[in-house]
Amino acid sequence: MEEDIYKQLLAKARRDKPRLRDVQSFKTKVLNEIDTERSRGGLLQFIRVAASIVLLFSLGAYVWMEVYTWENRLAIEQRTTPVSMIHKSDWQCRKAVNELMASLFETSALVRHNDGVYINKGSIELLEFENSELFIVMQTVLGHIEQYSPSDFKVYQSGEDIRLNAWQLRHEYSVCEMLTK
Amino acid sequence: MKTISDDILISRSQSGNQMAFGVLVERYSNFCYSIVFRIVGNEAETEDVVQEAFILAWKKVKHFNSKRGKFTTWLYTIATHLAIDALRKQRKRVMLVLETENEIQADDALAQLYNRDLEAQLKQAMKSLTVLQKAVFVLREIEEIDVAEVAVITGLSPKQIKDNLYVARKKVREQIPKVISI
Repeated sequence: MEEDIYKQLLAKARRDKPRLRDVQSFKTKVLNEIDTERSRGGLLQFIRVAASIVLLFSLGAYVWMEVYTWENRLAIEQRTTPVSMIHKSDWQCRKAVNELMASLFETSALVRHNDGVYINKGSIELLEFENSELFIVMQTVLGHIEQYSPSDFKVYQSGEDIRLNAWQLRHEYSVCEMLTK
Repeated sequence: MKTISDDILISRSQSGNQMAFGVLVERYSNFCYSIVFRIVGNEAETEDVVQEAFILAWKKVKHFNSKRGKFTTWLYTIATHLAIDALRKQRKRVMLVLETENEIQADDALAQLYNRDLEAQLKQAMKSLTVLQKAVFVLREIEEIDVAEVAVITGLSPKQIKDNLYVARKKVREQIPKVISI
């Protein structure tokens, strides 16, 4: 008896499947919802990209500021005589260049501007009297400027000012090579 | 009129063609509805779950690979999982004793109204099943989907399916006299 009813229940359930009342309107509802979600998704994607760009710029600015202030601090705080500037690693080169900049800042022969100094023929001549050791180093630096950036050297030769900072010394005039020899 | 194959509709849907996906919705919404309704047990919620299943299928259709299995199996997997989630939430809602009592009273009244309706009797008998037993019972016993496919849909092993089905059949059989006598 029980078994019969069980079988009847199953047979009925297999035969009469529950169905949607209106497949077409259901389809329209699904497609409309997909459209809504798509436009919502587009907006979210835009916000995500914009936020990533802002974050990236902020991070870049932060790193740049950190490096900038670190270099400035080194330039001001770490001072040694130019003769002792013989180092091997990149970090040491960076340190030595900053020390050189600090020495240049200290002289009254050169005019300081932000993180650099202006040099010209006249100020270099003055430097020879004020700090002969530094003058010798600067002669070598000028040799590097002539070799790596002839246009700057031309400006210097014409008697005009050229501006020197730590980044230029390391990257444009390759002073590191000289310091590590 | 020549019917477009599922493969073509799927590949068009994968390239973002909503019309093609619409045809798939038309084709399989009733079957999904049948499975989900048997698991969830109420009309309004069933329609929401099936709709959610198709929206999720649209979002994931790009990742569907026909080499790994049939589209229908993939679709029923999504629908079944959502139905199981819905049923679990539904059962949590009626956990409070008072609510449960009210529901039993309401169900009794319903059963009395439909005591000659076999569909209602089966629905009533299935109430004693756990979520997984119910899913396995619906897929295997009512929808007659083969074991391998049920394994993919539910994520259970064939042994677990067999065990769940055995217990489910037993429980439903035990419930039948009680339901009939109401």
